Amino acid sequence: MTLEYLQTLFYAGLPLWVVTGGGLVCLTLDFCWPKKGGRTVFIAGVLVLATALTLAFRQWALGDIVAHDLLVADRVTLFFIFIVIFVGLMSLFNSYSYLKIHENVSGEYVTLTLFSIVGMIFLFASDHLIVNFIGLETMSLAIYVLVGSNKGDSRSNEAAIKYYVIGSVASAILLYGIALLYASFGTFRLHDLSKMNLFPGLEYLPRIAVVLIVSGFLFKLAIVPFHFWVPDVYEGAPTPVTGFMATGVKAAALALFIRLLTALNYLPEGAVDKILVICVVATLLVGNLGAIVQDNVKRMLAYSSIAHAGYLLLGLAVGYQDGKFNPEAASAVLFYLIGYTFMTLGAFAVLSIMVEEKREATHFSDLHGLGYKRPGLALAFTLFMISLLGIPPTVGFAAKYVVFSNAVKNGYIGLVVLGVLTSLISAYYYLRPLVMMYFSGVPDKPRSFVNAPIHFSLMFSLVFCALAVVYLGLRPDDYLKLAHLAAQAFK
Amino acid sequence: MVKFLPLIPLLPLAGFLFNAGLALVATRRKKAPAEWLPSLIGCLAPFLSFVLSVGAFWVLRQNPHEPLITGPLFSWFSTSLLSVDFGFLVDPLSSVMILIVTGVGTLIHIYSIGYMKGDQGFARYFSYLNLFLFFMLLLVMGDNLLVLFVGWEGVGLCSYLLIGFWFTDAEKAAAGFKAFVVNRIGDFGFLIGLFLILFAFLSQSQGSENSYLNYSFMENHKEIFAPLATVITLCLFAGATGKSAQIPLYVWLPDAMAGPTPVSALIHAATMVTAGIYMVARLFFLFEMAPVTLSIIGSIGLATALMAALIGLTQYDIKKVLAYSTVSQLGYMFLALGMGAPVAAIFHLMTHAFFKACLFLGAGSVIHALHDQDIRNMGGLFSKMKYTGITFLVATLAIAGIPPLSGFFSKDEILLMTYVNGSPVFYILSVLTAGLTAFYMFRLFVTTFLGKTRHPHPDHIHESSLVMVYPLKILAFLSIVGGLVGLPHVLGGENRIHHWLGYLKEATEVPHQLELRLMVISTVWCLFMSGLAFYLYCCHPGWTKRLKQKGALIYSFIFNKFKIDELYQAVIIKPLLFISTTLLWKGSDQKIVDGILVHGWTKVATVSARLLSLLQTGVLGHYLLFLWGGLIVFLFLAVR
Repeated sequence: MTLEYLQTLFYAGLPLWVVTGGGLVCLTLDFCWPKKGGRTVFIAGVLVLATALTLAFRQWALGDIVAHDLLVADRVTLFFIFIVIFVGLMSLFNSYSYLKIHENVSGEYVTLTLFSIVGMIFLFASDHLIVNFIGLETMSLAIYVLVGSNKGDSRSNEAAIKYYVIGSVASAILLYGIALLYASFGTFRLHDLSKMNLFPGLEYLPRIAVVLIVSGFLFKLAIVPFHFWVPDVYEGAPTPVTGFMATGVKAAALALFIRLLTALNYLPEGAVDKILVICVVATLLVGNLGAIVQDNVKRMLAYSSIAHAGYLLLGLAVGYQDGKFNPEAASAVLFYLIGYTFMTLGAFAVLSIMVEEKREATHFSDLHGLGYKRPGLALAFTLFMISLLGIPPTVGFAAKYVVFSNAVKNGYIGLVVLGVLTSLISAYYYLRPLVMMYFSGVPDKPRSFVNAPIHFSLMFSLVFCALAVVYLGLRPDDYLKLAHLAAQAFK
Repeated sequence: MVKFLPLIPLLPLAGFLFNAGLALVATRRKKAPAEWLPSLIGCLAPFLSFVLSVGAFWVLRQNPHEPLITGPLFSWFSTSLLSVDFGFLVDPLSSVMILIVTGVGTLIHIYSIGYMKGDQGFARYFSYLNLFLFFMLLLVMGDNLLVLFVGWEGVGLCSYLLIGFWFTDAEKAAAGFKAFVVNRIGDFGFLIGLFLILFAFLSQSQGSENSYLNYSFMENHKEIFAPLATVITLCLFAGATGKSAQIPLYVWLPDAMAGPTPVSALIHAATMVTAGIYMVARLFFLFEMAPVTLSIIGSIGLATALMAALIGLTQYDIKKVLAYSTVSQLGYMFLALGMGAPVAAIFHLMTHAFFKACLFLGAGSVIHALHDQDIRNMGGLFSKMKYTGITFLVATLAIAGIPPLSGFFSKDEILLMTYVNGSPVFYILSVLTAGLTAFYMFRLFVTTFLGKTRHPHPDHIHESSLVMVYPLKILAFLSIVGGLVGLPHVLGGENRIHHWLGYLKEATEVPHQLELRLMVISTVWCLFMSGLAFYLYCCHPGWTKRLKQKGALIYSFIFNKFKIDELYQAVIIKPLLFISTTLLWKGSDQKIVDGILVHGWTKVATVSARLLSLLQTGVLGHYLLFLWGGLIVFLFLAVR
């Protein structure tokens, strides 16, 4: 290990080291200022993430691609670093006022968020399966705690336990898959694994391994039939954390998932796409139908995130040509992910406001009259809803259009028909909040949050996401190019 | 000069934006703004446009054969099949139009300051009026049919907004609605005409240039239209019947009198309703290729002129009489077009703009003073409102066709062309109509201004303010001298307008002897009818009453406008409503679409959602079970 090697490693992983070090600094700050620490640590966390984001942009602009076995800093990695750090930043903005209302502002919250981001980055920024697994666990452990951070709320505690138990089963499955893969080929490196040939007579071992690994990731992506934890956990977790999970965790898991699909092709021809198509069909139906019958906006959004994971997976499933995954298809998925991130974070930002006497008030009926009392907020929420639904001129439309048109090009007409029909179903539950806000009159006693002022940080993330949703809907070209550039690196 | 052409329509647009902003602010503050600001901006914009128009006209006069063309200002859209550029064109025809639109428009804007004084929507009124001028100028200045169509629809919109200006009155709002819907029927024909023109080009397209809707392009390639000319022109004419209030779509114009009177003067007399005539004259090279269409235009024009004149004889509302008179005069213009004399039509359009605007503004002045529109409650106003009375008389003489006022020359030209190009029946009927015009106009004048005052409070009546009187005077002056631009050779004139617009259609040579003879006939006939009306209504009012009682049946039939509205109601609207309500709405929409398709699928979705949510038990063990189940299925699929 020469000095030069360490130097390149240092520069390649600069954003990563900044977030790691920043997390430690935040922990120390919290320790030094136990009383007034909360706010300081929040500011420190925001600064750390902003610095890391800037460094990542610089690296993208410089364009030197460093690929070592432990740290891959190519454009895919950078693309996903943008997304997860941005998600972390917005989640911090979303959570400040929420935590303040719950009198729960603490340094741990920031530190855990930062460390989970570190985990996310390691999850996809390495070519080594063990490093990836450690990253996954770092992320998951931090998020288990975040889910249960509403200590006084039994639903939050229940969610944490449920997530932890099912999550550890999924991790076990994943780790078992990795072990079997090592047993078959004697390497953990994806780069090598992608070049291996199957031993005759021993084909079943790596095949089982791949199914186990893929299943483990489908769990994190919340794909049917590994989705059952999602509604319960998303509903129970503190709202900003739910937003963080719905975007950040999914993005990180998706990144490695695409790498795995490109690298591991041991399954008999047609098997992976068959599995993926089954998953897509089931996910679209369960996600969209499940959301119809909910009367809690947060739970509805949990199902909606399942549905959107289905659309993401649809974009991947159509990438299979002659039994091999074609990374070209990934560019549509990456663009979809950008749009999904903005609109979901925005929607959860609105939901973070909906708190009544330290309890979340996220029923549809709690939205009564919001359109008249808070026209700006209601407009933003409307924007996010119609974007999730996929109506122009929002990014939701552009994203769905890109994914569906790619699917049509590759001949998956049936999936597209299903996708459009399920989007149609989704109109029912996405438009319900609008009905509540605008067409149900103004209640005599509106919820207290309706008249409360919005904290600056939350306002920032709301406005930013709303503008992004419209801008990307009107001018998607540049970001399509960005996604395309990133997807090139999967080859 | 060409550089400044776009300013002519853009200035009123700026005025619109400014005044609309004022009106919005006023509505938010719930306080009417000071009136001087909207009136200043609202009048200055059209006046500057008028100055520019005069400039354009002056430049064009140096060399009439080279129209001022801005060229493509910007490309509106461009596809492989069709490209449309946005450009303006001022040739002799459109120069006449923009002078009328901005000139008469400015006068009416100024008049409106007095007329609309104290109205709640003062700024809103001026913003609409400016917007109207913008669209009207687009219509006449555009260098292709699509820009014309934009203006065409825009003026329709403004007309709707201004008819229903006092929209809190349900009847007035309904009048605006009627105008819009009837116009849309005509526009439908216009659109089909446009598409047919495109079709004609596309079906035998050659060459790379594809700005098909450009006038000069169309004229250069007019031989392409030969097989379709009749159909195209008939469709375009259908649009013109809507906008220019001809049979069968004239029914909206009398109702349009619900708007403020200056609006009736500007939009429903002087400018917008003449858009159809302008359009036919502009595309006359196309209409010339379809003699069938021309004869239909002539017949419909004559029928409209006659019918409206007959209805005009019986009306009591001062504005309704003028409205039917407008319909009748527009009929004359179409008669001229049908007789192959676009120059005569445009000439009459011009003089009509002067004297009809003057008449409407005079009527507005009377209404402003009396707050009443029924001529049975008027009478004896001449002494009380001297200037209004004199200008009204001048305009009445002009429209009645009494020499040497403007109406005489333009109408005489049309009669002459009818005699030369049409059948004798056409000529007799058109002369008869000219007499009827003289008769009902003098009936109106005499009952309004002469005789005894029948108003309950005669002491309150007074002359209108100066801002209203001056436009009247100017328009009356124009009504007197306006005809001189078309002074025929036989009377020693130069007939300038014929030289000016001669490129539309070559003039027919007519023996001077014949021209003089016809002139004398129509003059004597119009004088006789005017005198008759004067005599009957001034000296022997009883006679007309007796006449009414004798022919009660015919009279009430005409008085009720030939029951055309009732006919449309029974033949078109009722069946349409029946089909829409009973068959389409209650039958197919509510029962089939809503009942089965919409709610049926909703039930399917909801039931399956409930079934699915049964799996979501909330018990950890169940979830793990499902997870294992899924894993086993996938393993089976992969290893098999």
